[in-house]
Amino acid sequence: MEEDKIRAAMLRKSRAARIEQRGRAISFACIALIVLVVVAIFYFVASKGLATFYQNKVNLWDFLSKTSWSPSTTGPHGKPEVGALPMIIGSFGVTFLAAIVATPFAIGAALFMTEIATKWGAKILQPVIDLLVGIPSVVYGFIGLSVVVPAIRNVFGGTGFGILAGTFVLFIMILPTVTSMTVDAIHAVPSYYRSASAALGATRWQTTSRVVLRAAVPGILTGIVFGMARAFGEALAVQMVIGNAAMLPKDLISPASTLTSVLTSGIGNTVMGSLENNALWSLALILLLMSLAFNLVIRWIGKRGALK
Amino acid sequence: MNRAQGSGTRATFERWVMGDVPTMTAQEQDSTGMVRQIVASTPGAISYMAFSYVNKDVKTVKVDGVAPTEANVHSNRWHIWAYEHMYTRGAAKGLTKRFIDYVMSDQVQQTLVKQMGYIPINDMQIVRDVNGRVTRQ
Repeated sequence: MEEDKIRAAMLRKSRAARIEQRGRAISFACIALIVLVVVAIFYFVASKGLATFYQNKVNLWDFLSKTSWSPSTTGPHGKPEVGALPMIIGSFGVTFLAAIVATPFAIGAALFMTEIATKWGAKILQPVIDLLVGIPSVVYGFIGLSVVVPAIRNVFGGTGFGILAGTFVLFIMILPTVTSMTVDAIHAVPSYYRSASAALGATRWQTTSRVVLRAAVPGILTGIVFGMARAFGEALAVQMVIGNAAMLPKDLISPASTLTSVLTSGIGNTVMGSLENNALWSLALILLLMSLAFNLVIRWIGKRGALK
Repeated sequence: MNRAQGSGTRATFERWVMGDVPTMTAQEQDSTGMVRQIVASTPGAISYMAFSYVNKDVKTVKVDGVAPTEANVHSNRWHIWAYEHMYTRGAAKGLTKRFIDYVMSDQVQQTLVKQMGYIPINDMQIVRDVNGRVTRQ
């Protein structure tokens, strides 16, 4: 009857609703795929990395604090030496030094681009920064090997490999990242801050240093932590200039090693399932956890410093 | 300068030169090409690598008065050498066996193998087994 037909037509999903539902399902499938991939990666690295402690019975504290790394040979105590402290110190040392050296240059370049020469500063520096970001890291490593290492050798003596060479290479690599984010942070400071400061009679430098930079500090910090996260995970460029000696670095110009450099140079020479391989996966697990930590720090800074 | 820990070159060096003495922790590089370049450009650097990679950028040294030449390897006066292996799962059969025989024949050993800088196995005057015992062929 007419009523039933009308009722059926009202209760059935309209075409528009079905199309929307399909679109929602497709987007959900995409995001489910991404989440699945990330979870799978975490699970894989964690299961292989933790196998060192469960399967091969390596003590976690020994792993983090002992200083000799030779998992393929049995050491003087009859067990293989799996001490990751030299690599952890190397990674952190190179990352922090590169961030400390890069920050003043980045802030200076960003200030020049935004406050001092707004018309042509950005026009010249922006393409330069984009170019620097686009150069592959193996090119940086090769230039470091051919130019930075002999220069350090001539000035300081020694072989030229070490944390200092790694710092130089990483400084150039993270400079564009930190500069871009600092520029964004300074741009985000509302212009009425500057106007109010000028109305109070402040000079340009006073406005810049006491008002603009202070207000942009959360964004600048975010940029620095971003740069540090990139430096921490850099493998190829660092491996070519740091010397890969698995011992505690006694100064900046003696060969050292980082988590990433030991991983890339060792992973091809090990068999899956053996202790050497599991030990390398434990290093990878440390890297993954550190990048998670960097992520959390960035979000925490962002939340705290959000302009209310 | 060392090679990376799982490297075959390093294993050969440690077996025939170091013996029981553990190697000192030093710089490690993964590839022979990088090692050669670093040794060539760093004064005072020393490392070890296969005959096939030696070129005019680096100098070779004598060990125990014996020079690293092919003739010295043939007679085992130069001890630091190792066989290259081909691995099969189980005994080689059919096409696999024919390929292995082809590689071991003089046709390949005296031309391609020599061209790549390696030593033909048929030129060796001695045989060394896995435990290090040497017998005259």
